[in-house]
Amino acid sequence: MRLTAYIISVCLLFVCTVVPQLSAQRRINPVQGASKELQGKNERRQEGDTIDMSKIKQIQDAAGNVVLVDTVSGTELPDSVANGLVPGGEVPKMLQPLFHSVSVSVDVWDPLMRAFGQHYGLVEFAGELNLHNRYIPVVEVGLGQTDYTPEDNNYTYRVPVTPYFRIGCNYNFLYNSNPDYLVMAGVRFGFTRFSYEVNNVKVNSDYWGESTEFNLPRQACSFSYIQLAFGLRIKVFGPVSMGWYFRYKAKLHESRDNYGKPWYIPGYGSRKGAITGSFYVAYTIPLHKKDAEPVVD
Amino acid sequence: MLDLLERYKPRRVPEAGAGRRSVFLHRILWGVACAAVMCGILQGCNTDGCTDNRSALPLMAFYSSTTDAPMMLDSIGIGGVDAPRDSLLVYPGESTLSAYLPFRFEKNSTSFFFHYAYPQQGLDDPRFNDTITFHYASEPYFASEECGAFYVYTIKKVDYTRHLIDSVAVTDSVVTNVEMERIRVYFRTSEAEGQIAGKGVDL
Repeated sequence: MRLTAYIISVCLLFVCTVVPQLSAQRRINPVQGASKELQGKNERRQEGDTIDMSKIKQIQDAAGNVVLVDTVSGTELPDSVANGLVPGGEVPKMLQPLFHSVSVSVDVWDPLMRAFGQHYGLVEFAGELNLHNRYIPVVEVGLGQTDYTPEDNNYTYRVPVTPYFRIGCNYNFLYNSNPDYLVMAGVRFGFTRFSYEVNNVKVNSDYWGESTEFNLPRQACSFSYIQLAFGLRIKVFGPVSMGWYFRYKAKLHESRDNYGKPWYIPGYGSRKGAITGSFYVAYTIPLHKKDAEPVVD
Repeated sequence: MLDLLERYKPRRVPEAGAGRRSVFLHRILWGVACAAVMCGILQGCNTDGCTDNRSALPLMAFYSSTTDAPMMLDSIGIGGVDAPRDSLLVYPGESTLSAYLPFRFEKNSTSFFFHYAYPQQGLDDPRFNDTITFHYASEPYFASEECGAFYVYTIKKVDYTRHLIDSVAVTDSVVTNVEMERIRVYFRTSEAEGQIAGKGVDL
C-alpha cells in the first residue's frame, strides 16, 4: 500500500512538472477596437510646441523676398527657406532679369601692342547683350591694317584698312552674383575678306651674281576662324568697366592663294601662334530698374 | 532670442564676402593683364626666325645606280655653267652626299656640270664632265614673315649627259624653300659602261 501510494505520487509529480511544458502554447490576444485616428498624432502636444504659420507676420521686400517679422522685438528675419537660399529650398536659377544690360566696349589691345613693337592691327569695338547676367551674345567689329617692312628681310607687306567681324557668346560663371564682376568663357566665329600685297621684294643670287626686284600681284583672300575666349571684367566706376580675354584661335577656312599665304589676317592677327589677347574698356547700360541687392542668410 | 536674431541678421552681398572677392578679382585682373602685356612684349621681341631656307634651293643627292644606296663623293667638282669666275658649288676634295643647286631666276633653265677629279681612273678630264640642265618655270612666292619672299620653281624637264651619270630623278618638281631632297643623281659604279650620248627626260 505504501509502495502504491509512492508510485502514484511520483506519477502525479511527473504529470504536474513535465507534461505542461511539452504542451505549452503562446497565446496572443488581439487588441480589439484600436483607434486609427490616433496614429501620427502627438497626443502630448502642448500649446506653443509648433509654429502656426498662420499667426506669423511676414512681409515681402522690394526684391520679392519673404521676410518674417518678430512681433515682439520688431526684428525682420528673411525666410531663407522660402527665398530658396538654403538647401531644401527651391533655388532660383537666375536672379537677374532676362534683359539685364547692354555694353559697348573698345579693345585697346592692338594699339597697346603696337606701342610695344607689334606691326599690325588698329582698333576693335564690341557690343553685348547681357541676358540674365549669364548668357552674353557678342558682336565684335574691328579694323585691321599693316604696312610693315622688316629690317632683316626683303619685302614690304601691306594690308589696307580692312574691317573684320566676329560673332559669338559668353557665359558668365558668376551669373547670380554681383553683376559688377564677370568671369566669362566664350566662343567666337570670325570672318574677314581682305587683300594684301607684298612689294619691293629684293632677291639676289650671290652665286650667279644676279639680283632683281619685283612685286607680288595684289591678292584677295577670305578667312574664317574660331576663337575660344576666357576673361574677366570688373566695374571700375559708374557704368565703366575693364576686362581682358585670353583667346585661343584656330583657322577654319582660307581661300587658296597662288603666291603664298598672308602672314597678317585682320581680326585673326599674325598667322604664327595660337594665343592672342584682348584688353578692353566697356560702357554698360542697364536695361532694368536697379533692384535691391540680393540678401543672403 | 535677440542673440539668435542677431546671428541670423541679413548681410548684404557686397559688404563682406564680395568685398574680399572683389579685391581678389582686382588682383587677378591686374596681375594677369600685366602678364599678358609682358607676353605681348616678349612675343613682339621674340621671333622664331626662318626655320627653312630664305630662297628656293633644290637639294640634289647622289646615289649608286647598282645598289640605290647614297654615295659619298670626295673628288667631284660641281659648278654652274657660265657662272661668274668659274666658281664651284662643290670643290674636289670635299666629301659630300648632296649639294644645293641655285637656279637662275632670270632664266628658264640652269645647267650644272660635274667634273670628276679621279686621275687614277683617267677621268680627270673636262671631256668626261657630265652636265645636267634643268628647265623650269619660276613664280614669285611669299613664304612667311620670317622667310620672306622669293621665286619658287616648277621643274618641267631635265637633260643630262651620261658619262658617269646613269640617271636623274626628280622626286618633287615644285621647288620651295622647304629643305628636302628633290633631285637624285644615280652614278654608274661599274667602270665597264661608258656611254657618251646625252639623254633627255620629260617630267
